[in-house]
Amino acid sequence: MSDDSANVAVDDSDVVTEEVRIDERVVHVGPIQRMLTRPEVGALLGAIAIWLLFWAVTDKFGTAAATANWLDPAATLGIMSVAVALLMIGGEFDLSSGIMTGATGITLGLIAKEFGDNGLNVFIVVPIVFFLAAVVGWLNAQFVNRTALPSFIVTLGSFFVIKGAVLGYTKRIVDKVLVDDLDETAGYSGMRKIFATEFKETTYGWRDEIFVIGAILGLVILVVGVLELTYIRRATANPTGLLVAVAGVVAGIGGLLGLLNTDGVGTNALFGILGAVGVVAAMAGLGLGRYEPRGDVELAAADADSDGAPLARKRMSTFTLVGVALILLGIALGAIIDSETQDAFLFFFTVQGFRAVAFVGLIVAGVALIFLGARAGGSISAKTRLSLLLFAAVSIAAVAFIVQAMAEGRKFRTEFFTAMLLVATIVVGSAVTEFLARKRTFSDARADRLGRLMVAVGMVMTLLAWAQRTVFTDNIFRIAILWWVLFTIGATFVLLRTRFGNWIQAVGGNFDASRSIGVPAARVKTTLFIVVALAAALVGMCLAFRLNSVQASQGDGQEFFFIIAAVVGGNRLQGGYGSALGAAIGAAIISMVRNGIPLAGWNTNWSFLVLGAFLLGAVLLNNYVREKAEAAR
Amino acid sequence: MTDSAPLLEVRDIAKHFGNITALQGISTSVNAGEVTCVLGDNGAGKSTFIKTLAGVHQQSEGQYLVEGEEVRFGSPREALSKGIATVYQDLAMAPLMSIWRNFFLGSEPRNAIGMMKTAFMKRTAREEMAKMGIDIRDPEQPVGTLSGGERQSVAIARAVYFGAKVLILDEPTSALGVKQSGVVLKYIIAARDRGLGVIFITHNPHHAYPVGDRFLILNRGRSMGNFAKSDLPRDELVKMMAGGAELDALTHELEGSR
Ligand SMILES: Nc1ncnc2c1ncn2[C@@H]1O[C@H](COP(=O)(O)OP(=O)(O)O)[C@@H](O)[C@H]1O
Ligand SMILES: [Mg+2]
Repeated sequence: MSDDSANVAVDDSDVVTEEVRIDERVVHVGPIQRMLTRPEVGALLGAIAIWLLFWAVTDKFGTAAATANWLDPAATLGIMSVAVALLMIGGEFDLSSGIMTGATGITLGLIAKEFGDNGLNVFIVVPIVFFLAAVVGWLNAQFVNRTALPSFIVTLGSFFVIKGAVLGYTKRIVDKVLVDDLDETAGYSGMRKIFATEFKETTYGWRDEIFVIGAILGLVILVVGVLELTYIRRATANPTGLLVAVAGVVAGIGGLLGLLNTDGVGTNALFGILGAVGVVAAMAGLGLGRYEPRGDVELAAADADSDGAPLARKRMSTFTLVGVALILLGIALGAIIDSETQDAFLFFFTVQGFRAVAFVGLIVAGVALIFLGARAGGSISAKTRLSLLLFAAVSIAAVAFIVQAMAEGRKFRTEFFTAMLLVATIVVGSAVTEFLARKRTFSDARADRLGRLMVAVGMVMTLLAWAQRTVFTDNIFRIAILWWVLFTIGATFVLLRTRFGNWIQAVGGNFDASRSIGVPAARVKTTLFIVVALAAALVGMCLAFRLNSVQASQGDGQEFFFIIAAVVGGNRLQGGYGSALGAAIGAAIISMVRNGIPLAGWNTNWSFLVLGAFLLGAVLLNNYVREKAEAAR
Repeated sequence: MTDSAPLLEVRDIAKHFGNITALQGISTSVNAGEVTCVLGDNGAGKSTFIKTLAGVHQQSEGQYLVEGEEVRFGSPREALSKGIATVYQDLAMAPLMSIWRNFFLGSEPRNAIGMMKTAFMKRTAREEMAKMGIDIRDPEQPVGTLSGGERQSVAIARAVYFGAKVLILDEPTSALGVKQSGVVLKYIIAARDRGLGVIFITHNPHHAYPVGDRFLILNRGRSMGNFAKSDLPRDELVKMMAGGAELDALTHELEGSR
């Protein structure tokens, strides 16, 4: 049919792609497994756990105000940690990166205020500062490249040189160690728009509706994407299945509209059930309609599978059941955390502290166990899996109701309750789909591309829906967050999709080898040092225009936090491996810890303990990954 | 260029480092679809010889001809542009990077807006490896997780793909076990059968003899002969490599001392 016409067409490339579209020799790695091999996944899970912890134990964390509070320092930290991560992947460090954020600000202030008689317009000064920063980066690189000394020691030297120089000339020129009243300079307000605009968006009418619709649409796209990545496409669609799916969607939308527009226990329950049934029907219908049926033969075969099967089944069942139990216990414990009495000095030794830690710890342990169970039960029968998943879903729903009845905090009664029911519904839907459709064990380029695109679009949509609800409140969000996001996206793109990104990883992974094969290794390192210095200049400008004054010591000592954020984000300290996105997540973690601990009423000294623990954990994890990857058999 | 000229030929090459003579009076050749083995003990000058061929060093004396034309390479890049590719012992790979990234390292194909053609790269890496008889199931696998022999094959397949006419391999089997060595010998034959000239450096005559068409034997920088396979029975090669008379004397000495 269409395949034939593609072959008849003279276009060569079409024929080739048609051939590789379904390639049974390439191992197909499922969406979840593929994700687990990414360096930033540990950081992502850590970030979620931290967020949940503070969300559970404080009233404010998770509100727009608190989010704005931790996002703000996360942005400047994140810009630096992403740049430092790139350099680290390239095999080098820059200990002068911290002081550079202050040095650039001070330099800006001094030139803008003291140059000549009346100072200089900042529209001229800012480019000059960026240029000077690039020169510093270039000099760092020259020292490292020419001497082949560890960059650790070289940039420690330049750190002291810069620190001394800044203190010296600031004191000499303005006889103080700070420059203030930047707003007296010419062009200040224009530049402030670029580096320190404050968005104060007020609530608007459709905010919550957009959140609900956007999040649900995003989730739907995400789930369908995962299905597309998991199951075998049918040659032609099965109309019955698609009909069921459409009916399910209609029912789901009906249930949702009902929930949104009515009040009262009876109607809520009715529409809730309608919506849930709709979601399950939609997923099952899609499974029937778009993907190949599993068939009874295969079910029987899996059941009768060799000697290991009973053992595998037992292990998987145990792991899954214990995992689910732990998660539910954690949630139940979390629900009765009374967030009013948070002023204990040694929070971790109070009942509240115990509950909070148990809340996150049990959930994490439960997820890990379920994952282990899934791996242990490779050849498990579909029926066992179905019953396990259904059991999990029912328990989640049950605990959701218990939580709603018992919880004292509003967010547990409403937000968490809704989220848990949604999760339970999706688990049931997945279980039914898995029972109906056959899993893919080979690569299918078109399905993989579509699936990946849908997963990405779904995640972004959900995130945007949530973000707009958070942003459009009466809180201040600064433009640095936008620069952070853009820089992270850009760096990730460069690392994964460009030649230069390939070179960064190669230079850090094996310097001599990459040079001998024609990679301009020294030039790559030079560029990376310059990128770090420019990032420091960007952060310096953001801070200077926001605070209206710069201390000479600003940024001093921050370089270690940049490095911690990068390492926590899955970047390998020794180079050759890492992720820009991970570094950004690492910055978010650090910022959440620093902001969450005072909110929770804990002694802030704990934040160092938590950061240290995170760093050690991340280093161990990265080390393990590297050993696995480097171990040649 | 004449058809009869060998792909690569050296005549009376010498290499001095200051007053050290690392090589003296070396001559050999390699034809398309043939394997020339360079044998010698440690310090015999094997690496110096291939570095000269690869453009890392320049010969101090003698002639170096590629397809009948005399050449003098200033850098490895020049040698590469003439189709002479060298796979060094350290393999020039980043262990934590995936197979496809390593395969195209330094010569990444890009589209109009500067993005790497990742789909093409993954597919090509797999196909080229398949042509060498090795089945890469997942091109995303880090090179470090491959076995030593498989890593050699990635390096060889890469050289072949980028248009090498002559493939120089520096002791590819020295760090490998018996079985892995056998695998690498198979890739050498696969490359030869695809019409490349192969120069294979080793100190193990048992690895050289089965694949070689021609044998150059070095000892302390001097040639102990440049033989065609037909002129050199296996026993003779083994004996020459083992140090012949020297080993006989050593055996005698060791046994006598008991
Ligand atoms: N750059 C150099 N400068 C001085 N002597 C060298 C240099 N490179 C190699 N040599 C000498 O040349 C001889 C041959 O070395 P090499 O080619 O590495 O031997 P092989 O690879 O056969 O073990 C050795 O004695 C070594 O000391
Ligand atoms: Mg050698």
